[in-house]
Amino acid sequence: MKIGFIGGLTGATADLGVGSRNGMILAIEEWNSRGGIDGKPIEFVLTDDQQNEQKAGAGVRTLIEQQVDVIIGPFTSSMAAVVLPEADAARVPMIATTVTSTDFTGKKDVLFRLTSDTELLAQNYGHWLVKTLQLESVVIVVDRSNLSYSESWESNFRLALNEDDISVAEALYFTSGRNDEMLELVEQIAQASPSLVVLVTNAVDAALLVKLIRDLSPGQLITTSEWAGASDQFLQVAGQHAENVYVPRFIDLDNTDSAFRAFSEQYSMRFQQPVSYAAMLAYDATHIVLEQIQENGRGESLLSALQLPKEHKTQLNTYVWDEHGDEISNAVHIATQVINQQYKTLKDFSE
Amino acid sequence: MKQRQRTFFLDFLVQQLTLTVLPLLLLGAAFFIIVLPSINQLLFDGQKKLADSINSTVTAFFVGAEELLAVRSLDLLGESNEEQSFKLQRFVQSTSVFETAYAVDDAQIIRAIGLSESLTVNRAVFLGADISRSPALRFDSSISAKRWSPVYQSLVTNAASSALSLPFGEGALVAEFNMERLSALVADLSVAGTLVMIIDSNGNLIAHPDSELSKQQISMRFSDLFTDSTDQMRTGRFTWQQETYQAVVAPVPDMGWQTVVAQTEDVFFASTRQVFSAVVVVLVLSLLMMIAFVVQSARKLSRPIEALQKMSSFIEQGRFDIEAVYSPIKELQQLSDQFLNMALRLADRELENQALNEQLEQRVAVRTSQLAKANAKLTASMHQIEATMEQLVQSEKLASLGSMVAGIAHELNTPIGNGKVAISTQLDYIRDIQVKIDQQQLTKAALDEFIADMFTTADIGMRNLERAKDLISSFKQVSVDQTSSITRDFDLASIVNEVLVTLRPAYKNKPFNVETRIPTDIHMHSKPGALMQILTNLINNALLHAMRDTGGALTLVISAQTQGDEVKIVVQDDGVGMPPEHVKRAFDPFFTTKMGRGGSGLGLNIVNRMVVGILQGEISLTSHVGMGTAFELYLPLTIKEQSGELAAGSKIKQQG
Repeated sequence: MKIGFIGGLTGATADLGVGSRNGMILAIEEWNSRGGIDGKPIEFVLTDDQQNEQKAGAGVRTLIEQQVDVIIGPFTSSMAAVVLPEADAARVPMIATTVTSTDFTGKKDVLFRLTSDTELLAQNYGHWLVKTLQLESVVIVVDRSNLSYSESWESNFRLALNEDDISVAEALYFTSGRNDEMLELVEQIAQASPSLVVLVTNAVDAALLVKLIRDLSPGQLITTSEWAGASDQFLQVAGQHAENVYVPRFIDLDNTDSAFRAFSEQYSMRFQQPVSYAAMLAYDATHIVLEQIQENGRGESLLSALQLPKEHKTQLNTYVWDEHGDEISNAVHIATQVINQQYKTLKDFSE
Repeated sequence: MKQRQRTFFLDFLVQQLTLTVLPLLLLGAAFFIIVLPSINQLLFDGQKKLADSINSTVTAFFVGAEELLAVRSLDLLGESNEEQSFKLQRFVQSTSVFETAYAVDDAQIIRAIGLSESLTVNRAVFLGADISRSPALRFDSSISAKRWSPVYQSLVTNAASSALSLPFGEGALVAEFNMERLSALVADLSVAGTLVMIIDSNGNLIAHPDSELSKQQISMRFSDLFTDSTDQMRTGRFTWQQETYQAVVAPVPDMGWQTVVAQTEDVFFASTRQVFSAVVVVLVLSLLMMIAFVVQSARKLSRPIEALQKMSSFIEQGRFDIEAVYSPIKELQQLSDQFLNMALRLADRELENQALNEQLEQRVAVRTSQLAKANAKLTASMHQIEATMEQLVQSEKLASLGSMVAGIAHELNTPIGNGKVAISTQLDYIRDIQVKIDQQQLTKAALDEFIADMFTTADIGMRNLERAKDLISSFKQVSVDQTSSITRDFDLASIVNEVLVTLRPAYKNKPFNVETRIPTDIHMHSKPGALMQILTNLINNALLHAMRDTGGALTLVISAQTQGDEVKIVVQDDGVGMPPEHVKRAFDPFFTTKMGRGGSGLGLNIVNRMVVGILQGEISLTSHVGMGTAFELYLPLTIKEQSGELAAGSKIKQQG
């Protein structure tokens, strides 16, 4: 009984990968302490895609060779685009918790997700921003290194705003890690002076951009996408510059639910880090998958069981899957704002 | 008490094996109990020493890095931000230890930064960045001491990193380690199957020979070994990535980090295992050798013994074609020679026996033929004697018949005489009456008397004639009985009476009384002739032998009693009796006490043969001197017909 993991353990999106891995490990350790499945301990195989297409291909092939029963990951849509065809061919189900691109929506495949796709996310968020803020013009910054996600998010967000009669300029593109492009971009923004800047980037890039933008225009309203809110990373890196930035997230740290508190404490004890939504989702995904294996076995019967449209309840959340394995209830989605260098929940979209 | 038996081979084998195996086992036990643990202890101690030495190297590396930065910080003090950046750049690029180094002010804002050549980031991006939230710093209140950060995602390198920060001016100097360099450090130290790792204060893997793993922020807190007693050196086991390791964990002083020196159990216990295998191999080989040797010597010893045993079993079976046994052991060789000798001698004796047997057989054959001839002669004599006896029996029969006829004739005299007297008396009466008639003196009284007398005398005459007739008819019966030995129904009482009648003349004038106590209802179906002969014989014997010389009357009692389907007839006298030696021989042929004086000695023998053979009964004799003699006959009331006898066809009507 093996679980495979593929995600960015190093590289730009390491916060997603490392957090997801840790969440998965916590769930596996819980199961093994109860005797595993059928008395046998659950093993796991880790691969690092480094947010790189070649590495992702090699990683998924390693997992298939190792005959894993299920894959947790990957965590970005661009990596999922590489991994899915191979997993599909090998009939290995993959739970890509944070892959939200609409490219994967409505497909009968081996991909299962715990977060709604960008259509739901971006549109809900867009409408809410319009309602909450006085918006006239919006500039969107898009990271090329994860186009499947970022373009999908961007186009849905644009759709929502257009519906609300807000004008959105053409998106500004850059590649993560290319600081010179960043500087250029920031100049352009300063000149455009929009009412809102939307950063569809990872946490570190978001932090750097926020600093650079606010260096030039201190009061600029900025929001990130969910991608940047994966963990505390954004706050750590941006420091004081993050103040007042809007960040949509998948985890509500103000959650007083006792199960969540317990989970949060357990996680920080085990990993000496505060819990991130990547960790929570991977934790939930692992629990869901292990329960399905225990009930239905492995192989084809697992796949068939996962493909049934169903509500999956964990201790922390309830997810609703349709027959394509897409999450359709917007199970975890909140809007926050950074106040005093902490995420403050403003809206819970799952209600 | 019967003991279970084993072959010599097995017994010897077991004994010897026990003798040799026991010390081996003791050795083996001693090794496992004493030596192995010592070896293991040596291994543990060795690992500890190794860990100590490695830890010292690691510590020295970090101390060196510290000093490097400290020295540099002196150089930077008081310089402008630009200058500081420039110097930091040079610093970072001159050492391989740090990826980047930056100076932060009291608000933890980066004011100067140096980047290694591998980083393609633009310095400008980071100047002014707020790293107050970064785990690189995270101070409590004031920047007071140097600090080693746990691994975290660096904003500059966008990768896992760990930073050393020193107080610098109002702020701090932060240098982020080149993680590749740390990985190379532990890789260099990981030699000969040893895995060296460094773990940060959060229990995350910060340095591993595989640089990929180093960067993945792997939490090692799954094992207590890395979370407990982190201020001491300790040993333990942990399982990671499907391998189990034996490890020593040593704290790197002042850092809160740990150096892990581990070997997979295979590697760690390799020498133990080698020694163990070597010892086991040696033990097993010795055991095998010893077993082989013992088996060999057992076989060597048991072979001559088996051969000897085979020799003796051959001899037992009478086979003398045995082979000699050769053995270097004196006693066994002697045994073999002796067996051979014994065999030879036995063989000779066999031959002798055979010759003797042949002789004997010849002699036996001769003797047998002689015996056969003698036997034939004897048989012939026997036949002769039997024939003679038959003749004697016949003559006895005739003799008794003769005496019977004499008796009969005698008997007949009486009634005939009486009849004659009666008739002659009648003639007298008739003459008298005639005279009276002639004299015309016939009175009625005289006529009545004459008629009465005539009736009386006629009656007497008739009766006597009847009597004579009866006698004749019974004698007829007797003679028929005597001569034809038929089987018929008869009353015992009347037969006995017949006998007495015939014999009465013989004892009429002698002091001899015969009493009969025979019930009249004893009916027999047997041979009356034979019975009468027997009784005649017994009575004659009594007459002849039982009388006392001194006179006195002799009483003979003949009694009979039925017992079931038999009748017991007792002929008893109160005569002189017989001594025991005569009793014994009474029925023997030719035994008589009156030899030459009228006894043939065959009487009782014939009686016996007739009782048993013809009447199918038994006879016994009791007699005591002076007390008398009693013969007891037990006869079946009904005899079974015997084959070949006259009984087959003739039935004589019983009539006079």
